[in-house]
Amino acid sequence: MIEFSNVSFGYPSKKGLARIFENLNFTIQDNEFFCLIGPSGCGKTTLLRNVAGFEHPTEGVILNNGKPIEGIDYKRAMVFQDDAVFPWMTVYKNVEYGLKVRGVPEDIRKEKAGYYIRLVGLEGYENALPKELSGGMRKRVDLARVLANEPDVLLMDEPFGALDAMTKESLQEKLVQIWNESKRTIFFITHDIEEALFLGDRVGLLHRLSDGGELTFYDIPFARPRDIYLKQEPEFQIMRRDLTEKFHKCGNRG
Amino acid sequence: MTKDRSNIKTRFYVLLICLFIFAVWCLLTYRMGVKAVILPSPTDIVDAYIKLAPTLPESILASLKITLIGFAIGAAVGLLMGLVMGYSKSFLQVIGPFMEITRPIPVFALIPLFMLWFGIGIMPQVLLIALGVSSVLGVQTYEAIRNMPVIYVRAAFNLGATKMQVFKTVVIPCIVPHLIGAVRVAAATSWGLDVCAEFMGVQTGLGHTMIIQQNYLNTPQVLAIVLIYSVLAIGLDQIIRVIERRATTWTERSSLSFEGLTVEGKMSRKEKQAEREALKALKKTKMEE
Repeated sequence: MIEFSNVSFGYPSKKGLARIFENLNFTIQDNEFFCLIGPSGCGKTTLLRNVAGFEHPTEGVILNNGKPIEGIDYKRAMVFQDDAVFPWMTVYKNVEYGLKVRGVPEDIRKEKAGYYIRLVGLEGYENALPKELSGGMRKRVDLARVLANEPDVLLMDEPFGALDAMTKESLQEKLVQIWNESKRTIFFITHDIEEALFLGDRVGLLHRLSDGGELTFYDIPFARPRDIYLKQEPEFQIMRRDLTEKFHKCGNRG
Repeated sequence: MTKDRSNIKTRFYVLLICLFIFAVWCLLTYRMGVKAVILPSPTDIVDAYIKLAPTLPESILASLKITLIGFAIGAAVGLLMGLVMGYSKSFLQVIGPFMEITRPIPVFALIPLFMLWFGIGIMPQVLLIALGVSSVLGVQTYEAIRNMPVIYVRAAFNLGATKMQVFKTVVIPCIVPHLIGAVRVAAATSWGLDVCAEFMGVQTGLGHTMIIQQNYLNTPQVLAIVLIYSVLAIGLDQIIRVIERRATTWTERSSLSFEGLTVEGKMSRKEKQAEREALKALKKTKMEE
């Protein structure tokens, strides 16, 4: 369980504190798939980085299972928007990286890395270098690398934002499938409403601070397991339309 | 045109230019009677090699030894300094200012001082080369670390790596491709430093032989040694390039090429004039309105 109590964040700047978000209070339940959407500049990525421990709230506290987050922890694993796969390592070396630096013995590493490479559908590419892979495949490597560490919380910062529509859809499906099979908390950031509705249990809409900085929640009622045809259902479309309206009202000026 | 054919074509031009230079050389020396003291002829050079032959292997070995030892020590120290500066902010803050002050001092200016301090043996030369190489590489290594993508470091920490592990497994492999250029420059510099150091003191080596021959106005011998230095320097450079290719197979080498890029739609003078007149006409009608 991740609890945010009175969390505020600002960057120090010449004119004092450049405030990004203020007084956020909410909880992400264990094994919840929570999606946060919001216009650019609302601070959603910053919020995620606070959970990852790259940055710390200027006020308030974020609790993970009751303990304040003080630093980076592989148990709270981040999947970045940009390509973070190490280009100088093969797919296999990338996937086993987390296990290796943590001192996991080689036989276990081999088994786990192999399992997660198969899980994301990259068997046969173990010895390929990232430059030989497409953007979507590299994202799969990134996902496998993070999953191999078996984290409690997955923090995903618009991970599929840079991919084409087809690749994005297949990775979304892959992600819900993986999550169905082994439940864990996912905090997923996106600006794609359709993506949020398809993936999440709950969507949070964060407004820019200049527009009030409010955070509102919407439960997503669709049954699981979900497949991509859900996106064509009328209920999905209605909810999407509804959220889009709210999204634009909150000042998405692009 | 296929790549092969254009390759053959460019090679042909290279050969042509080489032949031309050689022809001019022959013309100047054999026909126009330029003195050997100014510009030796090809036969003079061959002669010079024969005269130098007895001592040449020893000289080459001496220079090679000094340069390579100096380069190796300098490269190791430079890389290490750069890495430590990138690793520890407090080290950087303490050492950085001294580096900044001493770096602009030309290493060549230290030659006389080094001789006074360390005598005229191999020691001052090696130290001089090491100093020159390390100051180039130290700065370059540190800069490469500063400019590397933060995302890899973040990702590594997030996967559970310690700072030391991040340096070993992420920082070092990531900066290698960016250091190759600096290493090549440093290698070239180390030959120059070797020549200079030998001019001033040592009793063996190519540079030393060169200065003696110059005293006797033996230009052919001097030129012959310059050619040997070129071959040695090119050789070292080639070795570094082979290592580079091995170490950086993972990089996506951009094959930046301006071939076949043409821009359409550039305005001709006539079109510019037409545009101006059209604008004038437009203004005029607006005024009339």
